[in-house]
Amino acid sequence: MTRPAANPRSLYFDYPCFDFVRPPELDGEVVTHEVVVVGAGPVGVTAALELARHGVRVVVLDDKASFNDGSRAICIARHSLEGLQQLDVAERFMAAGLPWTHGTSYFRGQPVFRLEMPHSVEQRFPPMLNLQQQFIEQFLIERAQREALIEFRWQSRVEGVTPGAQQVTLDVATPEGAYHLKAAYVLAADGARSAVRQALGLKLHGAAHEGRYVIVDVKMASDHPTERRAFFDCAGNPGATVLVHRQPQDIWRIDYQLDEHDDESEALAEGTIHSKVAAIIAMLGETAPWELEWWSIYKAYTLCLDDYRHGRVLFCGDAAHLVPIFGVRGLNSGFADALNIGWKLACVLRGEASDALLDSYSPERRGATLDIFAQASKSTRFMSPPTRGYRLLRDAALALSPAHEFARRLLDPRQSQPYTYAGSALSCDDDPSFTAGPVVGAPLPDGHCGEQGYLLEHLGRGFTVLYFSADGRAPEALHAACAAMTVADVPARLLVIAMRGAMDAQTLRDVDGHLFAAHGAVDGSCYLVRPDRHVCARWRQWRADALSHAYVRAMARAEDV
Amino acid sequence: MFEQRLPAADFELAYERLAAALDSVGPGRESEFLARLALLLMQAAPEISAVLAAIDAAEAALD
Ligand SMILES: Cc1cc2nc3c(=O)[nH]c(=O)nc-3n(C[C@H](O)[C@H](O)[C@H](O)COP(=O)(O)OP(=O)(O)OC[C@H]3O[C@@H](n4cnc5c(N)ncnc54)[C@H](O)[C@@H]3O)c2cc1C
Repeated sequence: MTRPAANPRSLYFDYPCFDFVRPPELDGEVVTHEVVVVGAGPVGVTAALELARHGVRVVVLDDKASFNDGSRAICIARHSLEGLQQLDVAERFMAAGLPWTHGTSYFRGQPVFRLEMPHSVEQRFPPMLNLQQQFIEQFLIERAQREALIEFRWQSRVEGVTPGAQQVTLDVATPEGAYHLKAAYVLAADGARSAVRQALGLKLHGAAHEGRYVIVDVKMASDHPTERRAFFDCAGNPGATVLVHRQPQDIWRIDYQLDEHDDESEALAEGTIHSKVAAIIAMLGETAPWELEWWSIYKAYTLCLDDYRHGRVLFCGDAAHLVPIFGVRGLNSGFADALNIGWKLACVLRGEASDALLDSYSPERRGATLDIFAQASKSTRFMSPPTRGYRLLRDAALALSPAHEFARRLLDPRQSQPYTYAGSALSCDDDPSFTAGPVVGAPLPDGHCGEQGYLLEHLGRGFTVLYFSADGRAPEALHAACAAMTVADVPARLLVIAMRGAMDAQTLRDVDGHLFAAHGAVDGSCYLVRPDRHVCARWRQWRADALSHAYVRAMARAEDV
Repeated sequence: MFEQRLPAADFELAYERLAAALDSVGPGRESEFLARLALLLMQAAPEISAVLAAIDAAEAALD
């Protein structure tokens, strides 16, 4: 029952209907926009927000008149929330979502593995937050609607793409006729069936995995805490796997594996779903009344484009890559795509970097996708063993796991992790004298700064220079260097981590030295952090020439390449 | 409890290789194959106590 997107009915969510607004192009006006984003899904809107944060005007097209419906992404990883906080949406996500830190796996009715995700007072956000994609889209779109630089064009379907040397022309179909839309750059965020990808004749490459899952949302009151529950060979689905997640608004997501011989249309009949879900709910020990909200079928793929950049068209989110849901990486990696490309496009459009900066997008983000494929393929083979051999070993690992640590490691669902852009052309070689702290290419981790909140809240809009100082003073030359390192005209922010001295907007006090320790820093250490929070260089002892060299490199400027 | 000797990545590699080998011998000869593999791994074990503990642990996990 995939409900028509124009009129989705839901037990708990009101879908708005966005009007079509006649654009000037339909009346003959010809404008070349800086960036057009195709697709107002979560990735497209995040990219639009990130571009607007850097002062770039964006047009966002979507063929629908509302949010995407049905049950899709529900688990947002900490690293996504850390990125989204710069877009001023993370608070709303936190207020509506359900944080969680652990999970339990069961084998033939017995608990065999306890998943504990690291969480400490250093972190503002939980390792995982459950929030339905409808709310994710709602919060992002409502935030974007407050942004003067973002123009939404609903009910506007892209049907053709003509790439050019100076611009891209899109053929857009609307309820009032078709028009051409010109843009200096196009971000294709139009999802798994990307029309932009098809128009350019590009194909995803990769593999399809064994195993089909029915995905059901159920409305049911229950006090069970928010955690990930995985049931292998259980009473509710003998011989197969079941996953259960709690979502806000008393919605429970139940994913159950189909037998390889199950007929798909029979499996998706309402009566079949009802009796299957009843058996699973009975297994969970729940007794409250429940209702079906939505259901669909799912199969895992590891597919991606060979290159995420095609001239002036850049692909992000599901338009660029499809990854299995196990490990919750799809949207989480789409968010990272959006944050990666946003600042780069802004720098290129403002003339601060050449087009060469955009060449770093595909190696960085496709590298992340390939890493996800390696992880996700293993978790998918564990969730749905593709052959008898895998099945025998998986069941052996499950049976051994209560008593043996080595077997428990195989049960870890390998949840979404941020990727380190280690070999990126934008990164400098790491300083080998560091023995701790985020390596070059890694995202900067959060840290608690007492009454001054959390480290990541203090990062700048462009680059951030983190300078570690015993007495709170920073060299004059560092101030001058920061002024010259701009992103969309915004100079780098100098953030001093001080053991002593006064606290102010630019100085964070590290009274007990834990920020120094977490960064392997001494008096005079320095990190250069990109606008997307990734470290691109660090020095145990800061040197002025090295800092400006690192900035030049991070902007892919010709003098360094 | 067994001490982890193989690095995690090597262990995962061996896991994949063993799954493929089980598939290629087929269901009819799995027990034979696994018995031979067990003898070979016994021979590679550093000491008798590790082998006996592994036998006990595998038996216990069948319960
Ligand atoms: C069952 C399921 C569970 C999942 N669970 C998780 C999870 O827990 N965590 C996670 O991180 N990910 C999860 N995912 C993946 C996640 O849902 C996707 O990765 C995410 O939706 C991708 O976002 P997107 O913006 O790239 O694409 P989409 O959300 O697909 O958005 C694309 C947008 O483009 C628009 N569009 C399409 N064609 C055109 C066109 N021709 N012209 C104009 N507009 C167009 C569409 O209307 C749509 O609004 C799950 C996916 C599924 C299916």
